[in-house]
Amino acid sequence: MRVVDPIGPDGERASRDRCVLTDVSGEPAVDLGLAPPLSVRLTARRMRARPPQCERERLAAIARAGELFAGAEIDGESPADYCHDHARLSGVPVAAAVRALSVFRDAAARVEEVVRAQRPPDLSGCAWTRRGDVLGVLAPGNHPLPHALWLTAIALGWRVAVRPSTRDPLTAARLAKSLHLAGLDPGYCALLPGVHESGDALLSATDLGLVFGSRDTVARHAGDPRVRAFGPGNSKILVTADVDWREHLDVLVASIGGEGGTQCLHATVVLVEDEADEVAEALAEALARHPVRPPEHPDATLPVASLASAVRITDAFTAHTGIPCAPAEIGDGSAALRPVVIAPRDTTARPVEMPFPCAWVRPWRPEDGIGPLRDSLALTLLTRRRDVVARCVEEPTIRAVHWGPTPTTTFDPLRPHDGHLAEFLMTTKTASGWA
Amino acid sequence: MTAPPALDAPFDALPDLATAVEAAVRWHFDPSTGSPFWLDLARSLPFDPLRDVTGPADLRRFPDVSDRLRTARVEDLVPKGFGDRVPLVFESGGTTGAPKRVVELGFWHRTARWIDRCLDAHGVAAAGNWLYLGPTGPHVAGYAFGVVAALRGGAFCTVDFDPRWVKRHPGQVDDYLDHVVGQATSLLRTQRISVLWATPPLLVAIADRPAVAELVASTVDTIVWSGVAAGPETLHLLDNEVFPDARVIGVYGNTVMGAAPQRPGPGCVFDPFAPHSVIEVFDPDTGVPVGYGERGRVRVHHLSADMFLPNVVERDLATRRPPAVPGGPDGVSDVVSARRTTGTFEEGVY
Repeated sequence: MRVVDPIGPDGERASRDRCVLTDVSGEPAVDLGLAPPLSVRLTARRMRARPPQCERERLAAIARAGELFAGAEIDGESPADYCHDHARLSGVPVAAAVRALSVFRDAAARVEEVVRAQRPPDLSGCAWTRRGDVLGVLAPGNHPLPHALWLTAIALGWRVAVRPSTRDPLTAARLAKSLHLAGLDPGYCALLPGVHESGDALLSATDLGLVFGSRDTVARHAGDPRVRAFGPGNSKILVTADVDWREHLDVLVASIGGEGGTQCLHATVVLVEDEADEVAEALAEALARHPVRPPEHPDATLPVASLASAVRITDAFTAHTGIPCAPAEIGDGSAALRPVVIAPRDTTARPVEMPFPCAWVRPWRPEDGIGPLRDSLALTLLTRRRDVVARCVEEPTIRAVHWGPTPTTTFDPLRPHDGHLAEFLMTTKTASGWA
Repeated sequence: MTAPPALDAPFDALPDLATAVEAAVRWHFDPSTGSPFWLDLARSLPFDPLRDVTGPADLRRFPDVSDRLRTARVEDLVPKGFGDRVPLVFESGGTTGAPKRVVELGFWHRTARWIDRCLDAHGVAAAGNWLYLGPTGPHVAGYAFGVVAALRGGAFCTVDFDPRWVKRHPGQVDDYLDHVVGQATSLLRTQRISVLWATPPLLVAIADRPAVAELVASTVDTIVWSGVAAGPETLHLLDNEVFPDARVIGVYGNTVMGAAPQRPGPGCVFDPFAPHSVIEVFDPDTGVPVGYGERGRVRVHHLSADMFLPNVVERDLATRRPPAVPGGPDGVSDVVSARRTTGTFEEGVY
């Protein structure tokens, strides 16, 4: 069994509080050392007490860390081991971790550009400064990519303490170890796995927090100016009558079901001006071709969970929609969650984001306007109508607009993901000179 | 009338469990000495305690009546054998519904004398003032540890801490801890404090304030923690990093069971005050006691002249430990509240 322990400014330290995480088949997979609230608070203090490391060294260390993450054996873990174990533990198809290797290398190599892209263009007479020193991150386990966000925070000079999800402590552990090995001052990155109370302690001990979670999690932190909460994305696609959707079916399929369909960027709703039923049918047919495979299989595209968890998920879906749904057993105690496409006539239930490929196809009429497109983390517009595009770009609750055949899941480290992180982490102040 | 000798024996001549069970059943179910609470309940039992209870194993034949302590009148809880003595009344935490009420007619004073003795065994110096950062009522801890401090010749300084308020307003917990630590600080600055009593979350709050932690580390010889469980890593950090020069001693227990102070020596094992408090660790699926070193659910029996509370299943999970001395009671370690084992991580459903 693999061992993961808390990592702080003094390096990795074996904790006496431990729990065993099982993989999707129920086999013990990770012996996880936990940081109780006291450990979280002491670590945050030690991080603050470390001397600062200059930006140039930090950025160079981050770039090197990206290389290590993608290519090196770290504490006996090769990149292939990481991808395999990530898939078995999280149930997310292995393609996600494989993609993370290159995305993190790329994001780390370009981190200086990322910072530049977020910096206000004219800082004459001004300083661009951090709103604090230590950032707490309650990380998600649905996909490795959100971890790329806190690399940017370190580049901006924040000291980042991450509490990983029990579904995936491996990505954050590998990233933290890569950063320490690459020469980042150890005060700039800590890994603090922990129970719920430890998460609360982390947000209380740090200056600002990034929290990833469900709608309830977001609601819990609503109104807290110290916390930036990332919840379900409710990402969408609009297909109007002036575009032949058959030419872009692959974009629709990738948006709904690529890499397991578990990201907040995955499309939950497809709005179709014409032929909504035909689109639903074609999508269902295409997505049904996704084979049932264990998550570490190179052809895996469906998310996998223990049979009990999978049944809980499909039961919740059925309870909400009235649509029968059951997981596909793999035979080792795990089960894959097959895609579901909900046609307009199937249910009147409100679309909800599920942790598997699941999309509501809904009719859209021009007189509906952009109302149905609101509240979207990512929105792909397959339309020739410039007026719709312009209004979507102006609409504040739509956080990313892709005009043309781009999957909603597209990730570019230089582009804002639900705004630039610096909008939350940094502030601009007047800093005028003597003369 | 006073308590039967077997339930009030000198600490050097404590009876074995079988003797204590026999004495407790005779006292609590004899119509002339038992409480209205038990005499009334006895009528509904499918067996006659006075005739059919022959040993400790029979304690499990009793129903768990502790829920009735939420509504019972305190007068009905007083054994008739105590005559017209007026009890003190204490309450459980109230985390699982309405609080349970118990009467104190000498058991907790006796427990305090026992804890006093255990602190000697830990090498805690006699005398020395206490700073108690816990509930002064309605929970029993404030009373019990006040008696312990007095028995040891120390003044008992207190800062009141209301755990029910904290549970009701979880969002204000940091503010509340700040409020308590602030009051504690002025006592630490102005008084000579040798023994600090606090719950683990309060010790964490102190550890998170370097100036206060330094004040504690430089003045306090002994830290007694109780009230809620502390995990092994937290205890290790408190003992070795935050307060390396202080003795850190835990006391497990609750209103229903009594107290189980930490056993002297390495590790953190709690020994119940035998034969009055009995802790059994059992497999929740089979009901069978687990072996030494194995984990299970906690069941307690309380056998004193004040109260008879057999077969109470707690929410706690613990590891069963062999007795410290031959013939001594089983100990427990690594106690956690069963509720907490489900509240693990935020699932990444974002």
